[in-house]
Amino acid sequence: MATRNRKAKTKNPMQTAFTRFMLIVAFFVLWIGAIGTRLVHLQVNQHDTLRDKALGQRRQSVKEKQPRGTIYDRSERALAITLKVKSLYADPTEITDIDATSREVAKALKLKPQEISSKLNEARAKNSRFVVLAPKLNDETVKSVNAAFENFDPRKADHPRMPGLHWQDEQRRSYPFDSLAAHVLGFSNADDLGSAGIEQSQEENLRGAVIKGWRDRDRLGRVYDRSEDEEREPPKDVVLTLSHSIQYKVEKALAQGVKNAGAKSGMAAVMIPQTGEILALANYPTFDPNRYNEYSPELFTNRAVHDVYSPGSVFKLITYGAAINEGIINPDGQVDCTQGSITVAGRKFNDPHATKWMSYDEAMAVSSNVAAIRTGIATGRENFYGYAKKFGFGNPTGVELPAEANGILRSPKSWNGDSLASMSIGYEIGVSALQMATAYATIANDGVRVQPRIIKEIRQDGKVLSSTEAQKSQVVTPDTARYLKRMLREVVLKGTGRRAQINGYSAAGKTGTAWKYDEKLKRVNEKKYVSSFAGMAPYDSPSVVIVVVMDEPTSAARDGGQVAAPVFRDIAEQILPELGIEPNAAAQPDSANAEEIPSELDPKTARRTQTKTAKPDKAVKDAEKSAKQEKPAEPKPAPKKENATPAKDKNRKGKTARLDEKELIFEHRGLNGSSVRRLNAAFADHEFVAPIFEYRAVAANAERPGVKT
Amino acid sequence: MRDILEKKQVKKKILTNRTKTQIRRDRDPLPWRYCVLTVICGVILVAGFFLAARSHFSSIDYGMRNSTLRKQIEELEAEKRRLIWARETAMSPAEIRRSMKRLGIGEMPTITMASFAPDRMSSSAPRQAANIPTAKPVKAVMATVDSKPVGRSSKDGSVKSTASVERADSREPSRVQIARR
Repeated sequence: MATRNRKAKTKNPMQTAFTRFMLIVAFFVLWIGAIGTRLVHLQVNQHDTLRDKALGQRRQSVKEKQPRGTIYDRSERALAITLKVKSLYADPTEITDIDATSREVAKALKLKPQEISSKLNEARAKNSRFVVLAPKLNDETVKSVNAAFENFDPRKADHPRMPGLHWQDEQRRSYPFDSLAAHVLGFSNADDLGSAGIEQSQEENLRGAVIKGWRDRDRLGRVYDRSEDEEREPPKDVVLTLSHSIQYKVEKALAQGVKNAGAKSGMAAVMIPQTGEILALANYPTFDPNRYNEYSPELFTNRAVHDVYSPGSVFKLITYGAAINEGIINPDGQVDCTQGSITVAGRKFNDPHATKWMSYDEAMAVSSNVAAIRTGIATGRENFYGYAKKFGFGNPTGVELPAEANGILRSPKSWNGDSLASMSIGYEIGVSALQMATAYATIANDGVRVQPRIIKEIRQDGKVLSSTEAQKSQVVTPDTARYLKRMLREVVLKGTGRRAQINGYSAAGKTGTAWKYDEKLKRVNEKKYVSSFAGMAPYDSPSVVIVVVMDEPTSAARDGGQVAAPVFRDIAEQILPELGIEPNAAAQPDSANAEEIPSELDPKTARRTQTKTAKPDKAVKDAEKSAKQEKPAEPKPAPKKENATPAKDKNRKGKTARLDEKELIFEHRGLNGSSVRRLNAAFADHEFVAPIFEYRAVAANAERPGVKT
Repeated sequence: MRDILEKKQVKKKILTNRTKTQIRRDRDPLPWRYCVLTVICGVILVAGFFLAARSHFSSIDYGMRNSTLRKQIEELEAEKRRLIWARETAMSPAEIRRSMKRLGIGEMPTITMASFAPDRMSSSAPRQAANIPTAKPVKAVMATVDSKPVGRSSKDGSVKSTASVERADSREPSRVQIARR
């Protein structure tokens, strides 16, 4: 028994040690196992949740808007630029005393405290944490606001140091030159979208991209990592062909001209004929794109490219150009303008200057309608229409501006009997100021039409991405262009455009005065005019073409030579030296008085209502055939029309009518109504005009006062 | 008791024998290699951790510097735009006009180009330009002092005089005449 007890009591110490050791090991294994299990749980099971949580703490997704591209003029002056500005916003949940905050903010920003407090209270009621108090402030205002609140709460980390107020970075489009070239530039709206002009047409190039990405920040808010979803491409800049100084001078001269003429509005275009570059495109009245929301939207229309008007005599350039180029007339020849008027398809066109045979130079100088109509008829419909098309009428010019008008040029199939005659003198056709400038530039450029352009190049980060190449086409021969320039020179030297003579330079051009089409009356309104002048200088090798259009001048003298030609002169005198054009020593200013300058308006004609009687087209066709002769046979002028408004003649009994001695060549007594009708039918195919005999009841023994036979 | 004593004696003998002779046992050289290897691995591991930590913090540092520089670039570009805008605004005609107004300077009329042929221009008759506004001619002398000129005739039209001066002038000739007499 004692031995058994002894055996039982003698334990192996090694075993004990080992056991204890294993216990400790087991403990550690369990401990490490638990940690490992926890790690696996966190890393595998809760991986996504924890990763998102970590990202949420440090990562911030951002949307950055690139600044909009800058618009420059040809001399690298910024006409439109985007600035970084700051907007002041408030978080109402961080503001303890709204009234006090409103008072301080109103004081700093010179606003009404009631407005601010009502905004903040409204936002608080809606639990909104973002209220804009002052949008898009410039640097100076931001600094003054920061300075005003500097000592309010120094513990606040960011400016302004007033609880609840913060700055937000934004962008603002600015036009440093205010209203200069406003219609060309257009403007971009509050959403930074181009809404007019180049801002609209080049929206794709100018628009600043919105770059999405993320930023990783540390606990102090410092960014240490970033990424962007797409490559950050710098914005594209647009360089225009405009010159800011020439544009300014043109706008000023145009504004003065409109005021002097008492006109409703005005347009002017200046371009280089050889390259088609537009140096200036002005409209009056204008607007300030910095404050576009203060103006009526009607003012935003670029009328120089959008509005269409009847050009009047300015269009005679195309009439004569077509005839000379086709060899139908000899530019050194003469045209019969002895009748004082011409009747085509029953419609009478008066001409106060048509008193004799005159050269084409003289006819152009005095703006003879008879000469132009004869020339147009001789040219023929198809030719006339073809040349009008070649000169660019009836189609947009392709200039890089939005909403450009096509103009109005009907196909010959839809013409009336007198349409060719009307078009020869610039009626029944609609043109824009830019189309007219392009046509005159064609003549200035020796007959080569160059497509007008207003964008010189597109750049990105200083590198030229694209530059516009002008399309060219030969419209008339250089000789024809030379003849036409000579004729236009006569207009300025001796004709209706004498007020366009430039000090130190020679000029050539044409005046135009047309009745304006009235939408309400559905016909031309003789009380309203569109007066224009299109010209070039210097005459021998033109460097610029200038077109000036005055809409509804109301001054005493309303024709183009009186209201538009002086504006042309003012513009040319200012810009030619700037362009480095040497003065033409041969030029002499004209000392003629305004009264001595022939006018396109005949006071009598201007007051008379022109009525239209449709006649069969056959008469014009026959006239066109015979009009190919250089000196057409002298037509028998027609007596008055049957439906002419009868005026009083005290010497006549029965149906009375005033007889114009010039128009009445002969009269035959004893005719009755049926005889008159037979005579009219017989003369319907007369070679040039269709005379219409008027039936008038005359007493058999009435005296005829001085009637020519 | 006797057994216990015997056991103790045996133990003593064993112990004394043990102390006398050196117990040799073949040592396995492997542990040394393992130790060295372990140390090397440990060093590499530690160095790796150290380098990783260093590159991590330096990348964060570069990231921050990069971000600061980018922000600086953006601010400089914004400042450049602002300066361009300020320059254009300062040189724009509208701003010049506003500055003139603030300074109380009247606006000049439109300046047209001077003739490049002055001789010819002077000989030709002046053009009738009814619509061009012209500035009024400035008077040669303007009276600024209301005082009597001494010994000046009232018939002298080269100086515009005020009413009091005119009245004084009218008296002067008589005084002179009296003196000459």
